[in-house]
Amino acid sequence: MLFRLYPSSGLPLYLQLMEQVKHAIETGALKAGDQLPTIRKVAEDLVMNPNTVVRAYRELQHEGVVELKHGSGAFVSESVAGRTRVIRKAQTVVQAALERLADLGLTEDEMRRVFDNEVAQLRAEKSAGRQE
Amino acid sequence: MLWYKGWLETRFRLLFVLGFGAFFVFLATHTGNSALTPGQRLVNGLSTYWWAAAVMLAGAGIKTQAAFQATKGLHGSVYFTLSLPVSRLRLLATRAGLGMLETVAVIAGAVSTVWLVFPGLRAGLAVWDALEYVLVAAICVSACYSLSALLATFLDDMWQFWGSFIAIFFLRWLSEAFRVPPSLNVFRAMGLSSTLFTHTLPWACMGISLGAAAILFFAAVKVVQLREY
Amino acid sequence: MSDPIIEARGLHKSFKAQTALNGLNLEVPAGSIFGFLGRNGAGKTTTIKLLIGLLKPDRGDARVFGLPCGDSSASVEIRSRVGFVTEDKELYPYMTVEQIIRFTRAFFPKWRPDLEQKYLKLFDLPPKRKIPDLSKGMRSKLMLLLGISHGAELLILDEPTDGLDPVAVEEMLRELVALSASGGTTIFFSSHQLEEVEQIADHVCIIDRGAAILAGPLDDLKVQYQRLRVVFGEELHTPVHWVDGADRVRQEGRTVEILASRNVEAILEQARSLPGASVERFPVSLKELFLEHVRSN
Repeated sequence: MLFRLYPSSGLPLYLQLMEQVKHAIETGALKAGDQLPTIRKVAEDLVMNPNTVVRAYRELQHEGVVELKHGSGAFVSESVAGRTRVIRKAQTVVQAALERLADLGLTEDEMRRVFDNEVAQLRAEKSAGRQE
Repeated sequence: MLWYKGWLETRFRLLFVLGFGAFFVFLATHTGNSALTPGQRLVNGLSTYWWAAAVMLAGAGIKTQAAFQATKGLHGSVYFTLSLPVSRLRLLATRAGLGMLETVAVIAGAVSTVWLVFPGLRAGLAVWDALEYVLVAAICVSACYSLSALLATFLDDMWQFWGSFIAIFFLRWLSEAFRVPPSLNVFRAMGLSSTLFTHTLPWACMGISLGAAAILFFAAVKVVQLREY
Repeated sequence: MSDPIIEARGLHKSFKAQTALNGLNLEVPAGSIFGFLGRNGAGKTTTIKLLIGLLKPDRGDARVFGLPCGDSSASVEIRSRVGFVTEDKELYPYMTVEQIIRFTRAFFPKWRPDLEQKYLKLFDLPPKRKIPDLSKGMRSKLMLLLGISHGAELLILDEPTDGLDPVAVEEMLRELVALSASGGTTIFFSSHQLEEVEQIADHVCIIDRGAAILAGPLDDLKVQYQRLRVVFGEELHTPVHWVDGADRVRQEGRTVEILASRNVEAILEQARSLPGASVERFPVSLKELFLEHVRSN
């Protein structure tokens, strides 16, 4: 299980770990029903705080991504199977969009910036909508 | 284990003090007041050696760091020592106790050596007399030892040594200058007025010395307990 | 929520004319890995010495395991349950590694010989080597071994990675993390290596000039603080009066950088409402948090 964290990036480590787990599920490295490594193993392998690992696992359970079975550990939720299908569809959508951007003559860096910007806009609109 | 640590800290100093003793004995037997018998000169010289040894063994002495030293000369390991789950009283008591035992060992060792090496000086004394002398000398020197140990709790290496030396030398000079009677003169009780010559135990001197030693030790404990490190 | 394992309130300590601690407050949760950060001379070592009982505070209250640090007999009890690595890592120069282990063992009835052996091998400490012949880093590891082997519930470490090369640093951090994971040992360590603290600490406290200027769970602080960069179409002539929470504002030409400690969404809204503004938000690293707070103190 290869997770990679960047402690100085500013992003809270528990969020980074959650991201890594979700990414592993999306790429198929972790499948529904698979057991996640123990808290102790993750803490020792990544040399990170075990309480942070606990927090990440708990948040993942809260989001329904993971199930914590008392005594036996953390397991990838069965319900992610459905999510994985949606992600696969999303990949197809993005692939098509990227081809069109390439036709427009955008470089890869430009593509990424445009994409990041639009996601940021979307996030802002969502939170503004929530505040109303 | 504190005794073991103390031993590792003081063993070379003890060796030095013993070696130093040989020098003292030589001095005492070959110099001094010619009006005195060789035996008297020796004992007189030895009485100085007893408190000099006590001063050296009570504190920083020559090289190694003491358990409690003034801020300037503090060795970093004192923080480790003080972080152990041991009261400061116990730390001081162990260190002071060891030094006093070493002082007694020096007295016993020197007396035994002289007894064996200079049979001519025995002057009709029995082994029991020599043992009695060792006991009396040890008790009478305890005040000097305590004073030196007290100074070691707040003075630097050299200051502690010379400070003790000068203080005791001065007290001895005072005792002679004010002609303190032999029955109360703690210094003389170790030397010319010792049981070897008087054949009576100097109870008053022993009492004074032990009393002073106790008070000085109590003061040392207070210093160590209140000090900041 | 259990009681904090270390608690300090309003600690004051002065040496001659200099004030070392000026009303320090501290709360260390049990089972946490707590990073105590500050510049040189900020008061880290003074605080640690107070907790161990080497010093007494002039004013204020400090407790470890709920016991008062300033009381002599309570302090002996505290020290029997704490593992301590000193600032200068000095041990007895006339002892070897195995001698000092044997010496220290005698003071702790709950000594764990299995841990002693484990860490002796893990830290690669040669038993017969004299302590002055050990590097500072190795002495640090040795002191850590002594603390772990006596089964300490709390480790108080003063710059434990000082003198260690990067590989050894990672090793020590891993062992600290493993200790926390296995036995729930609380680890309180002072450092000015921010990356290390960021890597393993779940709580931090920044001390400057004898007082705590920022403290709390590290992840929460990172969520709470955000850096916002607002780029305007043309330079502003009238300064903007930012809403509450925009703590540090720096303007350079057409760019304004804001360190927001709260109310991030409101500040974002305000920024976007300004004519010709494009806004970006960035996460804040511990280094930035540290520098921002210490510089403006």
